[in-house]
Amino acid sequence: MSETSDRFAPRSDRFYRPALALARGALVLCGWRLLVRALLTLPLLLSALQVSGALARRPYFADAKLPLPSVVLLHAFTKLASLLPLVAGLALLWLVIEQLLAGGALSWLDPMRLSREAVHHDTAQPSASRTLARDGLAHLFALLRVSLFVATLLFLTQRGLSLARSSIADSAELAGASGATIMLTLPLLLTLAFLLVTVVLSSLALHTRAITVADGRRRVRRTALVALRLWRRHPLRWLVPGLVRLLLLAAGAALLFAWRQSAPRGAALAGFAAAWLGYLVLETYLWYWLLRAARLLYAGRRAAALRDVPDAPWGVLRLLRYLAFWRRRTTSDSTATP
Amino acid sequence: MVSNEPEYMNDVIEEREPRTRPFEVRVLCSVVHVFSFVAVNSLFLSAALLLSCTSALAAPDLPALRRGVLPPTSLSYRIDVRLDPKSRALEGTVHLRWRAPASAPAPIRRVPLHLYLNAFAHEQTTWMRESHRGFDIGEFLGRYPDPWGYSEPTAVRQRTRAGTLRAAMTYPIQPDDGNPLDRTLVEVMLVEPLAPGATLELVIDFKARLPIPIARTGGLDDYFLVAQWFPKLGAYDTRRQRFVARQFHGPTEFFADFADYDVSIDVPSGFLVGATGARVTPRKKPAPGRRLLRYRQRAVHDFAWVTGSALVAERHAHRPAGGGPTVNVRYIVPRGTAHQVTRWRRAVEGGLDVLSRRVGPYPYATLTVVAPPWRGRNTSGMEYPTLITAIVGDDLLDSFLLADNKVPEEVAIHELGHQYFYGLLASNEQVDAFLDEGFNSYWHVRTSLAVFGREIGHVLGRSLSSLTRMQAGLSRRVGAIREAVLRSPSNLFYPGTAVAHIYFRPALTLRTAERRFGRAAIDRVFSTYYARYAFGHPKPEDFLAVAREVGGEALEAFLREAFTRRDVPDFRVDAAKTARWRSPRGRFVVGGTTHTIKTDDSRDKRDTGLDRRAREKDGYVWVEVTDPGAVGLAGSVRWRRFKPRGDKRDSSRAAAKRESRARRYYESVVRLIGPGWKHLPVSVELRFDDGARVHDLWDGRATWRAYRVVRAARLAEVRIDRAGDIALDVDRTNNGWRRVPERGLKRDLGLWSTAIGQWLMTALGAWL
Repeated sequence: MSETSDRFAPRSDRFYRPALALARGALVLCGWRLLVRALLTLPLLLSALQVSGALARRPYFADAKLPLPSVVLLHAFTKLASLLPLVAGLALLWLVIEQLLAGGALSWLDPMRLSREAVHHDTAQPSASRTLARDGLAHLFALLRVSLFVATLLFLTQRGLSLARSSIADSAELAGASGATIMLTLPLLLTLAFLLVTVVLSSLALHTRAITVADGRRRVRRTALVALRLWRRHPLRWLVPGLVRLLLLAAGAALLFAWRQSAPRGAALAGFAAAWLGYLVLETYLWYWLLRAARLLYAGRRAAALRDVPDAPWGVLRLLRYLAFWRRRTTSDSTATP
Repeated sequence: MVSNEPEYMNDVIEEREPRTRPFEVRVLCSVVHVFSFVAVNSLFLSAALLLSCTSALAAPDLPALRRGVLPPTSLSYRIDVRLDPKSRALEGTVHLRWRAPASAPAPIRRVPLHLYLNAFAHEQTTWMRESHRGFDIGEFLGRYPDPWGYSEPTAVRQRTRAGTLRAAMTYPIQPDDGNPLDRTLVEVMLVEPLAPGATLELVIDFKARLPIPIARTGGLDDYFLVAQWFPKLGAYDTRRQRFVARQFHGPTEFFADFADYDVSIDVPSGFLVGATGARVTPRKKPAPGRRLLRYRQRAVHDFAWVTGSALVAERHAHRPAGGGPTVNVRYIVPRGTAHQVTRWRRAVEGGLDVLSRRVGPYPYATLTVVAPPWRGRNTSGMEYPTLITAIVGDDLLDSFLLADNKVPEEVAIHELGHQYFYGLLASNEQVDAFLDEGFNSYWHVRTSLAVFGREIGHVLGRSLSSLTRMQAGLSRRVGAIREAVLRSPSNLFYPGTAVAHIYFRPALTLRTAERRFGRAAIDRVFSTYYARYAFGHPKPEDFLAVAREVGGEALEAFLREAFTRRDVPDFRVDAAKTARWRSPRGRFVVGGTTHTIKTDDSRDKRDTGLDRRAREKDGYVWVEVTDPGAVGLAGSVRWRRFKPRGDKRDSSRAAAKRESRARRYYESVVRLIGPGWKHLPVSVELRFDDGARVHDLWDGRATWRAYRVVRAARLAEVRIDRAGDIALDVDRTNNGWRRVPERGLKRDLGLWSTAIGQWLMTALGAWL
């Protein structure tokens, strides 16, 4: 674990507002993220244009009135679905690259180092790009395990909610609830519950990553516990990353829905494309902002005690082994005794 | 005699004999019908009609139907039934009277009775095994541990010639599949054989239990849709002189003879009742805490009723625009949804207007429309004589998804249409289900369009018509379709394809026929079919004979082919290309002069060897048409000339100027694939860059066709069936080709798909 210096520790209890400002190297971080994303999207763009070009050669689609009738749109989706394997592959690759970028960015956005540089104007330190690559690789495996951990929790949540849905729907049906309640209200409430859980898990993922990089930790489950204890100290601020990401996703979905409904051509299409590019830039900026704020949050005074928590395993396996060994010992003792 | 062999095994599947009767009988029938035309409604007339050898009922008298006068029947039911809502139990007595046809070849010793509720007795009934509803029995049992229903006659007695009642034996039979656990059909051994022309009277005491709704019938607590609930006599086919009763199968429904019903229903106080027919005064007073209602209806083949303590009713009279008696329509909906009655009214009254005009009069004075509550949704979308169940009556219909959407109304129109095809024409649903479901599906699309116009079928601002839904439904199942529509029995289609064969294919066939032969022709066919066969249990050959007689041989030939082929048609553009025409490399002779061309440069600068027809000096486009032919039809490669449409160049001077300017010619080759049907021609259009359009009518008999054109313009587009006349074409996405993709669409969908991919990446990054 790295040493902390009270001299350069953040003194303010504000984390999100100071993080809005672009620190040194922020543009480099964001630039790299946008560039990698663009490169990764390129094969998808080319494939999508090929598929849509084939569709556009068919009068069934090309001559249909706009907005495309439902069945025509469904047929188009069926053809576009051939892109799904590529999207899945790119999404997984992006997940890995995202962890590398996040690890490097979190390392670069160390509030102590930034304060020290601001005071000493020390420019002999490694560049943002180099830090991004070097520290990103150093923390990659740990951050990927964070993703796996959160994915497991998400899956368990989904299963739990699904079982709850069946049980609640059965009870509602037996109680004579209306179709609107069972088919609309209930799924809506369960979706909201799921989204609430995703807000929590998304925040948990971010703070766990920030703590992992800040302290150089390697035990993901232990670090997650530390992140949860951080939540106790900042009950509302801790949730901001999850909320912001949810709102961002919702905004993106709304933009895509509006795009599809309006079936734009010409200048309108250019407008939607520009809006989407603007969305991606905003999304990158928010990524930077949340990472920086997470580092500031963990470097704050209220988190001081947490930084001393050792990076030790929970000891579940050790406990199980102990229990198994204890049982074996007591069994052999009883057989040995005459 | 009742045969224990499965009825379909005795059928001649390929050809069905048209109805014929001996000459003397036909003369006698004609004389009787003349008298009947003169002296309508007389008792003597009724007796004369009954004595004449016809099918179940006499041929319909359309003017009488318009006045609501119904034909006489040879079967009657008088039923007393009591419902206990807590146990879902029914207890009752059926008094059944049936006059055997005088033409029966021998005394009848056994009669079948349907006990349809036994289909819901356990998991291994024939219905349960065959039902492919996506129904998860495990989940259902988790919610309702005891959902089962059943029906058992506790005593069956026959009135003898001496006037006494003697107990008759019953035993279950399974003539269709030999399933020993299926008890939906029983046989009654008569204590006295029934002579031809004699009357059978049975008194059947029965106990039944309604299932919690799995499909079509059942109820719970405060709502019951009571259908297929009483022991019902199997139908007697007078053409083949045998009973044609079948077990209750998953994909198919019910079949019975027309009868007169008189039903007394005993329910707890506070329960509203709706039923087939009109309410009349009960014969006795109800017990304390109970209500007793009595309903009567003549000339129907089933009786269903609905009851519940949380239902409300509204009554509206409507006189159909196409004639027929004023119909008292009663709308029964769950409490709190009475405001939705206006939706049902518009659908039902509009539907009655359209169908009475196009098909024939609705002859009954009553109609009950039920919107079940949500928990009774498995009883929705069903039809019974003079009683239909629409989609549910629920707040869900007021939500943003369904408030402006007309799908609920379309369901009501569909069920109303069944009153004609299921209720009045009453073909055998179990053997020829498509005569009801397929024909009705066609009519529900037409009726919905007529009533609602462009309002119907919109989801989030995008059109979604019934027709396109059917086409999409058919195309999804096309890989599994390998049987003809005209194949029976209807419960034995390949699993998962019954809906395609019974609903979609016939409906789309009729739609195609309408586009090809004209709506007027189809209307004539159906109005004649109805006029001739209402109350007559028609078969497919009866319909095809009417089509031939009224619509012409070509129409009948098309319908017959569509109903007997095992494939569904798909026309598609298999290949299309257009390239610069160049003089051929090598040595060739043109106009007595020998030319040798070696290099590509030489080819570019000359049009040596170009067919003079390509220059189009006569103003026609010349096309080389390759048609490989079919069995019995020789193939050929022919040059045909077409007068181009949409082309402004009429003067030869303009043509000459163009030719000297261009000096570039293009060779365009198109290959089309078709299903090779004998009676399905299709239009083909080739469009060129200079605006010229070439229209051809391909007879469709060969399985492919090729066009080759050399002219001074590139091929821009190929279209098969531009107007969409062939609704049966299972994949319309491959009916055309454009050389230049529509740029706006390409960019829009391409960029949008990419954005979707990026959004998914963002989501993954955000959550994990």
